[in-house]
Amino acid sequence: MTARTTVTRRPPGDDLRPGRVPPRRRARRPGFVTMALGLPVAFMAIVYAYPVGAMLLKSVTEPDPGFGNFTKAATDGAIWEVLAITVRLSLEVAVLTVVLGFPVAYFLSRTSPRRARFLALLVVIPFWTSILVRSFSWIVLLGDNGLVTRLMEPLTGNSEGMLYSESAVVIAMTHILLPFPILIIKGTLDQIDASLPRAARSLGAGPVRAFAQVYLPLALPAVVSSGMLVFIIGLGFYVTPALVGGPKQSTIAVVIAQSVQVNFDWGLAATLATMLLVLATALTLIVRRLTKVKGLVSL
Amino acid sequence: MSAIGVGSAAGGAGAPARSRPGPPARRRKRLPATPAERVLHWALVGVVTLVFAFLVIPIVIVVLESFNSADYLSFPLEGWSLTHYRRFFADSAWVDATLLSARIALLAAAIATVVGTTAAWGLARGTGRGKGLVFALLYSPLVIPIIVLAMAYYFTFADHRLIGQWQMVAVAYSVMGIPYVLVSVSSALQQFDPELENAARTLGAGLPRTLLRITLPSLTSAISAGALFAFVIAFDEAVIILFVAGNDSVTLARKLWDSVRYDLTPTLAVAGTILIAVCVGLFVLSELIKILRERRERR
Repeated sequence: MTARTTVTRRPPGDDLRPGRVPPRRRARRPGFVTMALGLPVAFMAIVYAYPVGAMLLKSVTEPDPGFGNFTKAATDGAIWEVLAITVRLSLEVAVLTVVLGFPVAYFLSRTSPRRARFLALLVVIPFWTSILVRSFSWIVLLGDNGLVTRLMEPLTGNSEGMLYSESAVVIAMTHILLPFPILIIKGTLDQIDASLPRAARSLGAGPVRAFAQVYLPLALPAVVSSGMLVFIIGLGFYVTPALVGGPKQSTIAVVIAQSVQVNFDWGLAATLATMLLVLATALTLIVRRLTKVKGLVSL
Repeated sequence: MSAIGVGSAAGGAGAPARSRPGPPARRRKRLPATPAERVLHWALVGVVTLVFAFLVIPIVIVVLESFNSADYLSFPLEGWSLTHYRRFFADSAWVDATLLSARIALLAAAIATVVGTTAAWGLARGTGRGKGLVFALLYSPLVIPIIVLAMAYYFTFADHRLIGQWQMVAVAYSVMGIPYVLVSVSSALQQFDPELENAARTLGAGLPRTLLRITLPSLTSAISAGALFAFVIAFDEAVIILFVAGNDSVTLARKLWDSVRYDLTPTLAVAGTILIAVCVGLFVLSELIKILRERRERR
C-alpha cells in the first residue's frame, strides 16, 4: 500500500505543487482510516459485543455465581432429549436440502445464462420472504383443509393434516433453507470446467461414470459445506418448530424461549443459548477450515 | 498494476452469468445424445420442476389466500374478494404495526448502511494487523443463531429498562444488517481502483471531498443493495422482536406471530402478502439497480 502511494506521489506535471501534497496525505490518511475502523468497532462493541457478553455472563451468574446452570443442564434428561431432537431435525433438513438442491444447482449451472438468471429469481424470492410468512404458509398447506392434505387424502386415506408433527417441521424447514445449498452449490458448479466431464466421456466413460468420478468429486466440497451450513442454521431455528411443530418437536431455541417467557429461568435460557452459540461457532469454524466456501452472502 | 486490477474486475463482474465456456460448443457436443442421456436429462428436468414447485407454491398460496372471499383459510378458494384487504386497512392495529415495521426498518437500514460502508472502506484502505478481527466482529452477526442474539438483547434491554423502545429495536436490527452492507460494499471496493482516489488527491482534493465525489458515487449500487437487504431483514425479522417488543412496539411480524398462534384468519394472509410484496419489491428494485448499472458500465 505505502509503496504504491510513493509511486503515484510523483507528480505527473501540470499545476501540481509537489511540495504540498505528500505531507498532507501522510498526515491525514491514517486518521481517516483509523476513524473508519474505530467508529464501527466502537458501535459494535456497545450494541453487539456488550449484549452478547452480558448474556454469556448470565449463564454463570444467574441466579447464583458458578457453573450450576451447566451441571443442571447436563444432568437434566429432558434437555438431552431436546438436544437430540434438535440435532435430528437439523440433520434431516440438511440431507434433504442438499439432495433436493443439488439437481437444481446442477440444472441452473448447465442451462443458458438467461434462463438461469430467471430461474434463480424463483430461488431468491422465497429466500427473501419472511420465515414467519413461509411457516404460516405451511400451516395453511398442511392443515386439515390444506392443499397438501386434500391431495394426499386419496393416497393415504387420511383426512387429517400432518400439521404439528415432525414431518411438518422438516418440510417447512427444508423449504426455508433450500435456497442456501442451491446458491452455494451453483456457485461452485459454475466454476467447474465443462470440458472435464466431456474429456472423460471422450475417453470412454459413460455419462454416469463421468459424472460420478469426475464431476461429483469437484462438487463435493460445496455439497458438504452447504449441508453443514444448513445443519448449523437449523440448530438455532425457533419460529418454524414453534409454529408448525408440536410439543414433541421442541428445539433448543423453543426451550430457551419457554424458560424465559414461561418459567422466568434466565439462567437456564442463557446457559442453553451459550451452548448453542459455542456449538454453532465451532461448527462454522470447522466448515471454514474444511472448505474455502464463503457461503452465506453469495448473492 | 492498476490496469490488471480493472481488467480482472470487469471479468469478475460478468463472471456469474457469462464466464462458462460458450453455449455453441456445448450445443454442438450435445447433438449425438444417447437415449440413456435423454432419459437422464428429462428425469433431471422433472426433478427440478418439482423442486421449483415446492419452492414457489407456498409463496403463491399466501398471496392467493389473501384474496379469498371466505372467512376462513381454505383451498381451493371460495371466491375472489378484497374483503380481507379492507379489513386489514380498517384495523388500526394492523396498520400501526405495518407503519412501525417500516419506521424500524428505515432507521435500522440507515444505521447499518453508515456503519457497514464506513467499515468496508476502512478495511479496504487500512493496513495490516487487526483487520481480520474487525471483519470477524462485523460479520459475525450473520453466523450467530438469531435466538442467541434475541436472548442477548432481551437480557440487556430488560436490565436497562429498554424493552418496547422502537429505536432500540432498530439498533438491534441494524446489527443484523451490517454484515450484508459490509460484504456488498467490500466486494464493490475490491473492484474499485484506489488509484482513482489517489488521482483526485494529487489533483488537490481533500480526503472528505475525494470520498464524497469519487468513491461514494462509484459505490452507489453496492451501498443501495446492502441498504435494501438491511431494510428487508429489519422489516420482517420475527425472533428478536418477540422478546424485546413488550406491549408497545408491536411490529407487523410480531402481530402476525400472535395471530398465527391465536386466530388463523385470512387477514393474516394479507399481512403475509404485504411482507412478501415489500421483500420482493425491494429485491426487484435491487436487481434493477444492478442491471441499470451494468448497462451504464458497458457504455
